[in-house]
Amino acid sequence: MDIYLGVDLCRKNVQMSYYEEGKDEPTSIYQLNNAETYQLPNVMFYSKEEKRWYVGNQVSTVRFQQDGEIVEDIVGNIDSDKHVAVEGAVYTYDALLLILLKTHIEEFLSRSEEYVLKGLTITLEEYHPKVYQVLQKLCKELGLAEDAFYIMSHENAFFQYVMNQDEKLRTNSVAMFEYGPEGMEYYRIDKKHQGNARIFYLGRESLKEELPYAMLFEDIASLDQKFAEIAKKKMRETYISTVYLTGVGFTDMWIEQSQKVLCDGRRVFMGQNLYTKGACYHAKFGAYEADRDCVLCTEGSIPFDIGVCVGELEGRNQFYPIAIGGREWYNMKGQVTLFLDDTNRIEMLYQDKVSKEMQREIIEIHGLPKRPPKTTKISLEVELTDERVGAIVIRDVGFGRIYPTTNKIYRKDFSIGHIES
Amino acid sequence: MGRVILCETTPATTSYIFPNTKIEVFSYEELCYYIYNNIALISEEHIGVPMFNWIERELHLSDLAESLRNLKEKDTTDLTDLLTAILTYKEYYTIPEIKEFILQIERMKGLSAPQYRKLQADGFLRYHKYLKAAAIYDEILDQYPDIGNDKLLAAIYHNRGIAYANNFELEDAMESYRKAYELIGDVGTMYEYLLLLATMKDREDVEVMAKYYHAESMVQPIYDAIKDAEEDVTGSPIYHRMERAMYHYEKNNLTDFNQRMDTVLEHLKEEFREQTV
Repeated sequence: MDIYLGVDLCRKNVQMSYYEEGKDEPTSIYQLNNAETYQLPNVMFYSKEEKRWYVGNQVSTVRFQQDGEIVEDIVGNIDSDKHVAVEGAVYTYDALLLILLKTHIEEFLSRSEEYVLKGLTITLEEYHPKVYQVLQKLCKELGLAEDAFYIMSHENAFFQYVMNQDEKLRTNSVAMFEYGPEGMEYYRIDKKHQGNARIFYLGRESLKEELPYAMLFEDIASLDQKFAEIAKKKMRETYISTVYLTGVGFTDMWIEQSQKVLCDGRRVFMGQNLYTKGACYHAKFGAYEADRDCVLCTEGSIPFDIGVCVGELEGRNQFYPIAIGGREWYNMKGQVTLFLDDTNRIEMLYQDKVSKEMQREIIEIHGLPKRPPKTTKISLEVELTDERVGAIVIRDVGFGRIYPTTNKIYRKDFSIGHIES
Repeated sequence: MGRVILCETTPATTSYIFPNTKIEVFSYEELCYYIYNNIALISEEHIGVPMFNWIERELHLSDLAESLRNLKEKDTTDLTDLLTAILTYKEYYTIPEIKEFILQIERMKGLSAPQYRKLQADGFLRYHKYLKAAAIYDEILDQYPDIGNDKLLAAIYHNRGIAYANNFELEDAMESYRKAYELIGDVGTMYEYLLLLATMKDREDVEVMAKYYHAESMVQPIYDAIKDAEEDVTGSPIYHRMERAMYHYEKNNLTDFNQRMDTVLEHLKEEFREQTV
């Protein structure tokens, strides 16, 4: 049976869900020893007796039954240079994170001999380069093809979740309040039409000052009233079809006044597994916006497709995309191989995903040996190093043994701000 | 007009080797390039089952392989059909370029024997098979002493000069260049002649010869070109090997010197062997 997994990796815990054929929506995964929660804490326990790792909720039981070593706050310590010594072996925190995730996944898959992992999408509370590297290793260790594995932001997971719900729930804008240890955050997905295309804007606003997490432990009634005031204001900003409430802050049902405000002409859903399910939808069905004429614009996503002009430089040509925009900057990479025919110039194109306007940049390649037309073969890679800066790397591939490579590499940096201006 | 061509194919891990030239191609585009530029070196026996199997297995272009197999089975198929089928499979060459290719094949059918053989020799020369190229040029000069076409004869002598020069048969190369120049007075040939002379003689001698042929203006560019070439060669792997060998020689580490020189010689021998087809 083909299994598609969605994993929500947060600092304190992991949530997983899977998609099974025949079901309408993803199912959250509980650990077998604790069906009451699908929040799996980021703790590990190494059993000296069994010489194996226990992860998540299993740790709370096993640690008192067996002799071993406990390791906590795996994600929180990812930047640490500290090593953890366990039974003669020494681990870095990235190695531990890899074990943690792999163990969770393999334990789930071992529940049935028929389970075959076909796709995995992981959503991150926050991007971190070391976490990203660990996840790339995880993909290889699980034997997944590149196109069966994806890493996305929470915003994107929210979007994927919403877009896989009944269309009636998103006739107008869709909002979400997330109440976690950092305070309240507000998200809203608005839709605009541009020709035949649909543009989705996912905005985020911090309400941490107005609604800090500490209020949960003070006067609940004040919290409810304050939330009701804020919710009323937000609901007036535009027509909203559906509101989602997520985060541990909503676990205790304290919303009374605010519930009335929110439910006035809207559907309201509360749950803690929205991100993992959004990731799971993505693992199964792919990105909602792919193959549909729609674009997601959100903070951290790059609003451009980056490509190259192929064909005649001053005649018939077309835009060939190398890195598709509308996704997280760390997912925006691509590579293409080209032949230069009687030219040393390539034209880079940056196409705005919303307006479709094209910006052009000519790159002249110097220093390569003079070769006959069509025999200069170059590879062109695009990658972003953060939200604002990227690079185009051009390598001389050579033309087999007929014209061997010079191994020359050229690098051209670009900035998103420069393109946008 | 410049053009940027998208590479839509994946390269092979194992090359296809053309049996007559021993040239290896690793990709569809290299195959097309070789076909397009070496019509004289390709015969119908070269476009057959081994190539089709390579196209299918290594390039993973099953549909091209299949259509070539089907074409080959038909009685009416000729070499042009097979080559065109390969060239038109992707857009590495444009339609006008392919039309020109077909015209070129037609023109070649009207070539005389020495013209055709010269094209073949030029093909070997292009791929650095200097011994083979020189042998064909010599064969043409032996078998067709009265070509009756000074331009053709000059071109044969000129290219023969290149072949001999690259095999370090410098006197023969000089003689070839001289004969070529005396036939039609091509300045390109004179440049090559003086360039070769400059590698063998002092500048004074070169200037004297240049004056004789009224080519004084070529002298400085020749010495500039030699200087550039000397700078370029310092970046080459073989130069580095020689440098390291000489370092050990100067330090009287003769064992190391000998080992390094053996490596250099082996490399040169290998290059020479690759010329033999």
